[in-house]
Amino acid sequence: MNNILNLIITLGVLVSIFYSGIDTGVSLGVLFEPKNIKAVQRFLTGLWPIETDAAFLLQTFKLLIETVEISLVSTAIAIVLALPLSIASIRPQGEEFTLKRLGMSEWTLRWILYYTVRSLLGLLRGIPELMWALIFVVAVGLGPFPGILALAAHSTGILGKLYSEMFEAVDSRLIETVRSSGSSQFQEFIFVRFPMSLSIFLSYTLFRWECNLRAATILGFVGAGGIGTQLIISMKLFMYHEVSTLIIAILLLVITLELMGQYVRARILTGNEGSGPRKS
Amino acid sequence: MEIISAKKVSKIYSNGQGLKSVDFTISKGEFVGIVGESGAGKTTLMRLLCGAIFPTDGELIIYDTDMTNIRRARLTNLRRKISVVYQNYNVIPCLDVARNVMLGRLSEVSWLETIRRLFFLNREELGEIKSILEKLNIADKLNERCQELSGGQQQRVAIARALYSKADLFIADEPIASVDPATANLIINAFKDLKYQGKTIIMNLHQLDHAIKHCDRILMFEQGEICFDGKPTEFAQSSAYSRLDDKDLQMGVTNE
Repeated sequence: MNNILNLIITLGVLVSIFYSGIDTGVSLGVLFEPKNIKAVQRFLTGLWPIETDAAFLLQTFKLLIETVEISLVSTAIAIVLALPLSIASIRPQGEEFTLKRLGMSEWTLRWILYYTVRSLLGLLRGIPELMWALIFVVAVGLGPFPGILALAAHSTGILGKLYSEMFEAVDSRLIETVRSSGSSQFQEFIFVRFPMSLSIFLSYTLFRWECNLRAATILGFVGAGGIGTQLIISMKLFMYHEVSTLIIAILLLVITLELMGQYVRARILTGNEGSGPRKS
Repeated sequence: MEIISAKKVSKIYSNGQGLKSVDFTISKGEFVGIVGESGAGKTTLMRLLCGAIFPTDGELIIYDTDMTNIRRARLTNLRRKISVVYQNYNVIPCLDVARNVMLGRLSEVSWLETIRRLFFLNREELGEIKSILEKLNIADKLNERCQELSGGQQQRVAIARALYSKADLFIADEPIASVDPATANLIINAFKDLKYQGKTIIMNLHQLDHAIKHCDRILMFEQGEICFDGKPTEFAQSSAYSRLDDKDLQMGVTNE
């Protein structure tokens, strides 16, 4: 019975893959049609020589800086918004948070808050960055500002969820130790949950900044600032030599960032190693 | 003056284990030793007394507060009078010793003061913390992170936290089960000092010799029920004692 079920599932998956391929017009033939090969040729030969005009390089540099700025500010906003939201969506644990201990009104309020904030975070991260960018371009006009808002909105959703799960994962026995001497939940957060999560907090946040930087390079496609602004213009004007300069610039940025990220992460980790493992 | 009174208190877990209808009272200034096999309900009792869990049946009164129907807001208030030392997980490993001791008095300060104390402790606070640590021979570790300390040292930090608190009732769940004999004596003596100051101590002990030597009164648990309640001298001659002593509980005795 189980085997037959597995067979049906496998067949179902295979059939959907084939049907989807046909439906979306996947065809090796199209890729190698003479007309299309020519277009690719034109694009590839157009990439070289790369654009080295001083004015264009300066413009590229400025846009790169803007891209970094967008990622920095948006990540900072996301941290500031995500922290309180994540605290509000820490699941109440322990017998003292049952209906009987809290009383009907407090219990209801607490769970309403919990589910509202969780849903809000879900909504924020459910909408992709580019869609947020489109929304904010409509709202506040073209430029880097809607880009910052877009990345901040999406990252708040992601960081809020990650933070709250990280705070929840702190050893409940440590929490009980602090609670049983009468500390409030706020004190429990300041003295236990936050310090215990600090290195994961830094690691998540740093990773989110990296993601935001990568995302900031394409925000310009919808007019939300950054180096993508120039990329889409050069692409539409068939200025492929400019495109290659821009792609190289983006690559350099991402590599630099990767190296920096590795360095910072190594510092965080050795910071922990230096203090040694917990002896018991 | 009675501070704890338990009438037919039960706490049954979903697996059927736990405490089954126990009765006892504890007065101010008593040093009560709780003994019994593993799984006899000792830790359950400890956690009931500090409000981490609540009775499923019966009446448990602590400081005139009915624990069966207590609301959380009241509970936080009550817990300020209580200080708890567990067997493990007593210290926050990533914080330094001074911060861990500070935890003992945290419940008395405002939220702003809480944040201040995480980043900065003033000379007065540090001085007081240091004088407590000196009694426990770990004053030199004041600024070290607790994860760098040995198990015995961590346990002494936990005791320092209890001493620093302004609690009246001290609940200790096997505070000396995983420390060396010298540290065990240091810890027991710290609790005895508290007793002489009129504080009440309820201590869960594996080592029967310690219980007989230091406690005013012994409560022995067997399968979730109290099977002995009386003076240590009586306990040493009781059948309950010999039952317990025959089992694998002499570890602490043979260690010393």
